[in-house]
Amino acid sequence: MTTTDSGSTALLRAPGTHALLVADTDADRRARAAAWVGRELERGSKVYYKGWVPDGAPPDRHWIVGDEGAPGGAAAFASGQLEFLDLPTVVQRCGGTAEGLFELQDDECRRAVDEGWPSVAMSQESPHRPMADDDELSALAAQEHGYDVLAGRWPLTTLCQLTVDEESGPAAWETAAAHFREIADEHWSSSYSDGRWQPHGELDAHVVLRFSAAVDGALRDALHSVDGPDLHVDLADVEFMDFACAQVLMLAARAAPRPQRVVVHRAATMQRRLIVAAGRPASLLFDDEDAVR
Amino acid sequence: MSANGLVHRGLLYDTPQEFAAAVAPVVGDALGDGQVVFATVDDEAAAALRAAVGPGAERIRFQPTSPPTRPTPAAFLGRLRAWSGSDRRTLVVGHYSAITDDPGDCAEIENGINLLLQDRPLTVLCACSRSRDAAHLHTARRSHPAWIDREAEDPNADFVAAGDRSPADPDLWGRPVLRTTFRGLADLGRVRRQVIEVVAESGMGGARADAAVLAVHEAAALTCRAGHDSGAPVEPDERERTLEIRLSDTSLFSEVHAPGPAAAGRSAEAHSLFGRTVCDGDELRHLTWFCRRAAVLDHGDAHTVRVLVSRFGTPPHRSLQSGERPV
Repeated sequence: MTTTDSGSTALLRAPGTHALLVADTDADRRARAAAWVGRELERGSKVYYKGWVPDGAPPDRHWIVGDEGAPGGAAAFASGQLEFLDLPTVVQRCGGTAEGLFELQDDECRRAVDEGWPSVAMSQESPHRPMADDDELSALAAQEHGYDVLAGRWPLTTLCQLTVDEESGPAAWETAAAHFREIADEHWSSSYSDGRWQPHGELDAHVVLRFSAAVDGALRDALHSVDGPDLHVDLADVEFMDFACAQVLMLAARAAPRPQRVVVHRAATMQRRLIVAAGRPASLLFDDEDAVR
Repeated sequence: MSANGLVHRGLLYDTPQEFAAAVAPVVGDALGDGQVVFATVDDEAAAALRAAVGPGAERIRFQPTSPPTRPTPAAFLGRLRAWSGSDRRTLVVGHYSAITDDPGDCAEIENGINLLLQDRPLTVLCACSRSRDAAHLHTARRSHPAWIDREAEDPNADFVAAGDRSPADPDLWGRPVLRTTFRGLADLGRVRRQVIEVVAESGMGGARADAAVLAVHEAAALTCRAGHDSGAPVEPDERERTLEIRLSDTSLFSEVHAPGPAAAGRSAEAHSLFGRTVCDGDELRHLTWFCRRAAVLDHGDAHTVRVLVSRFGTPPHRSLQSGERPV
């Protein structure tokens, strides 16, 4: 058992990703978002940042271009490399729809490339939406899918932001679920490749709700996968997992509609023991079991 | 009367005035030295002590002693630990009749003081009336290395070291290797890294070390949950908890002391680490996969979670066979 980097930092450095930065507090979120913006500016990206400003304040009063903001943020804002839009204005310009937002951001990417920037980076602060009904959930799904479509058209890297303390429980859950493929929390992160969902780092009771939301998102996504409905979870890069998070995998498998199963790959002895201690159902399998082959 | 660690003294007396005359000089010295002074004594003794100490007595923190507020032995030891700050010495005057009427509890408390608090900057003066029953007098005579004496050591020839008379395995307690505080689930990562260091320095490795870290983590996490169905926290509680780890030649013993009662339905496992049986429960069932023993002790105003892990020998007692599916 080691306590190395959870992969969160590496994920936030990777170009071309659409990741969710998860933070407990606003101060933590700001520090990590500022570092991300600073790195994107340094590698020559045009950065579009959307966030909240105090009532009536001009964009240059946003913290991202202030003393505690991104390294080089003020100069980039002055030169046009960094553009800021406050979220109420974003809603006004796009008509409050996911389609409108997609068009707005498609235009932003086109303009950046036309201006000669080699890459584009976008980041949005926690939206403070209640996510209380199906319409909002559909809009969230469409919006997040839009970033993936844009990444296919343009050299785009996207960082969505979630401050857990500031969002409602359902909003935090749905946001984490929608971003299950690439989550960058403080001590754990996730990635997805070759049909396997891979959490990294330390999974404990403190992050169990975020982890649970991500598993839920992965489970929903797998259900409609062309590769089959099973969710394949690879634990090879999990440095620590406690009982609360083992229970999440157990509960996910129990909740999965038939014939969906949760298949756990490369579990360490202790992780395997935890999952069994949690009371695994028949719909949770380990990769070395005959039923998986 | 000064020392770096625990000073544990006894007193047998006939009258409250005799009690006060013996204790007051020590209390006066402690107050003059800037120490914090707590007293858990009965009303008659408190009045005599106030009179003997004089004006300074208003700085003595007298504790409630009516039966409904009497703590369990583990809770009383937790209080002693909490009272003994790291930046100054603390004096506690305890009166057997004000603390417990149960001779077993009394012996357990005295054992605990000698076993668990030996490195604390703490002076404990225990007074017992000669009119009390034989069991209490027996405990008083065997538990104190010396009798109260302001001027010089007054060794107690009847003293028997706790390890030689404790009903619990004396090897259980070992030496303290980690004492840290935390305030909630967000601190668990930091605490875990401290535990990993301690476990690594103990020579444990591989799956056994992983099991030890996990067991301590789960004990700490249990104190952060007011109640749960699926392991998810339902009532964030950021009051301070204390984790202490002790290492013996054979075991790693961890104790987490937390404010507030244990959650409903959680007061369990059949092996109290003080040798007392408490009720069964589900809360610790998963922990038994990773440690030799686990216990939750509910003290009403606080609770304690203890786990014991073997450092060497056979792996944790419930090793899985491939494909095993316990209920």
